[in-house]
Amino acid sequence: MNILDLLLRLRFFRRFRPNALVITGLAIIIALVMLAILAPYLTPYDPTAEVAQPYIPPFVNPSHPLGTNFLGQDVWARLVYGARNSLMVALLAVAIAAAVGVPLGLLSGYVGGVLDRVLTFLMDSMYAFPGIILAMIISFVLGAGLINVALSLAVIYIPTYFRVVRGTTLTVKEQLYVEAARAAGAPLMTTLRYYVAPNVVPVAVPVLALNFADAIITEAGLSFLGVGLPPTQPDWGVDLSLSRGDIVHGVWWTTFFPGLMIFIATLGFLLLGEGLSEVVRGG
Amino acid sequence: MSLARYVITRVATAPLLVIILLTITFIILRVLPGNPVTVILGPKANPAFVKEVEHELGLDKPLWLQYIDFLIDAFTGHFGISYRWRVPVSELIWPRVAATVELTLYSSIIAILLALVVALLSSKFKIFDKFARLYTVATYAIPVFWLGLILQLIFGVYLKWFPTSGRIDPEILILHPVHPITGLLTIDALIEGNWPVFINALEHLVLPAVTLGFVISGVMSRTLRQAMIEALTSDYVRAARARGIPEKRILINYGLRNAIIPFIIIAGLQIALLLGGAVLTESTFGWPGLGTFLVESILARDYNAVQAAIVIYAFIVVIVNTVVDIIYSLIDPRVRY
Repeated sequence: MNILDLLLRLRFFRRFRPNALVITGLAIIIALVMLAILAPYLTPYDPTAEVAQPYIPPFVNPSHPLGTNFLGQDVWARLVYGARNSLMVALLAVAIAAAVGVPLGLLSGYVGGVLDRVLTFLMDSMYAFPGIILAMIISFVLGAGLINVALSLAVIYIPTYFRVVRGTTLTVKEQLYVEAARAAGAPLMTTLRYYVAPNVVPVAVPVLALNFADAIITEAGLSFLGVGLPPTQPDWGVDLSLSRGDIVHGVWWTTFFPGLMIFIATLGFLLLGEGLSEVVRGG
Repeated sequence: MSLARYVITRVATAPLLVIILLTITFIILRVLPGNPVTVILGPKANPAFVKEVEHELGLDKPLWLQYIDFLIDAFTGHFGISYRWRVPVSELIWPRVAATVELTLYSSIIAILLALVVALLSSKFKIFDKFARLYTVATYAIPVFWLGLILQLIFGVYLKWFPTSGRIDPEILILHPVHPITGLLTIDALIEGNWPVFINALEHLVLPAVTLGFVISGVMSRTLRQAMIEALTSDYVRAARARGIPEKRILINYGLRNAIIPFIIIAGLQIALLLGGAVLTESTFGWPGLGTFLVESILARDYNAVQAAIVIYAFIVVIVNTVVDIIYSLIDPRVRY
């Protein structure tokens, strides 16, 4: 089943009514992706290089529109390149989590029995535990780095997909067409792939967007705590962590702008997710 | 299922839940690639020294024996020696737990109050309904550490109303010593009538508690609003309206009173969110709680301390969830079936 096929199966693509939340969310996301892709054209500076005097205030020097930090790095350059790291980590995390969580949920819900009970209990206990703390210890063991942060975030999102997909599978598997497929002698994997999955997977789509939002804000949190991306990387969470000492001296721009970016990025995906789940529910 | 049976089953499954969480922790810490000794000593350590540390941590034993030891130690509170401080972890960790309990307690109170205001306003006035949704989205999307830093900047640095970091000024504590009874500074000070400490501790609590409270209040206001809507569209409210009972009384006596119980319960189940947010809030405000303990221990590669903190988090989560579930079953018998 390819992506296009999946999208066509979504009800809201057949009779798509413009939803303000979805459109706003998508607009923010597209802007962010452009920022990440066009980073080298949007700033002449290397985000990790010390390019000017430290602590130049924003809106004063036209070559450093958002000022510089304590090392004399350009704040705007770090924001723009930070978008790359943030989006990349979130994309990887969500993709891995969905790739593991969705099939597990399908299988568990469809097969039932002991497997289902064990998996559900396991996933529920993981779900009850604070995600960021789980992610912290995983990246403690794996070490800092982009892939490792993505992996640790992926682990905490697996239960989310599992729960949503399993729940829907339980209702879908009682449908007549599934029974018919089974009665006609379709093997387990065929039934799951062609009869159950296409009707279950769309419910996971809003979850993708909501998880993306969570991944961005949690990655920033991990990096802020020093257990996410290494401190040399341009990243919004790392920037906030580096600027902690600035606040006391009244230097606000090194804190304000990176945080604002995290807020905007999270908001974009959150609005998209909320909008999509509204469409799925209402459509 | 009778009430007694439900409570017994629920209490009996609680240790099982703890064991599952501990097993996940064990798998992450011991079975995943990334040897704890390399985590502590770094990849280029002297092999003889590695052997010594392995023996000290019990890592030379077979994995299943390590697992049993880990579970027994967790349930008996034996957390080993902290590598960083060279004292038993249990001596270090309990004051930290108390500090986190204090912070989360006040944050919860603030969150509940904020949620009440937002939910009541949005039930009463149609315009506020949009505001309530916006509020929930904002509380979710605003990074808690960023909010904390901004509040520090405004109220700590510019206005100088509140201290920006720590739990209490050390001078105050030296001048007016407090005996730890509960470990919660404000409560202990109140019990002993120690006003200077009480006021100073409260001043330190304001910014972190507001920060964390605001972030948690989003989910709470959403839950409360849904519960209110459910109550206000019910038959007994229609009947009350038909009898001509004033809208204000319907809102408070019929809506809020029936919504508050499911709300408190669901708020209690947000413990994971609260603890996760507390880690970031504590770190932002230099609050000496369990969250900062975990972060410091991770950064210092203090293996036993990290393990101990995770074990305590697992216990807190399971105990709170169990208690909330039991209270829920007392109030709403349908849960038991």
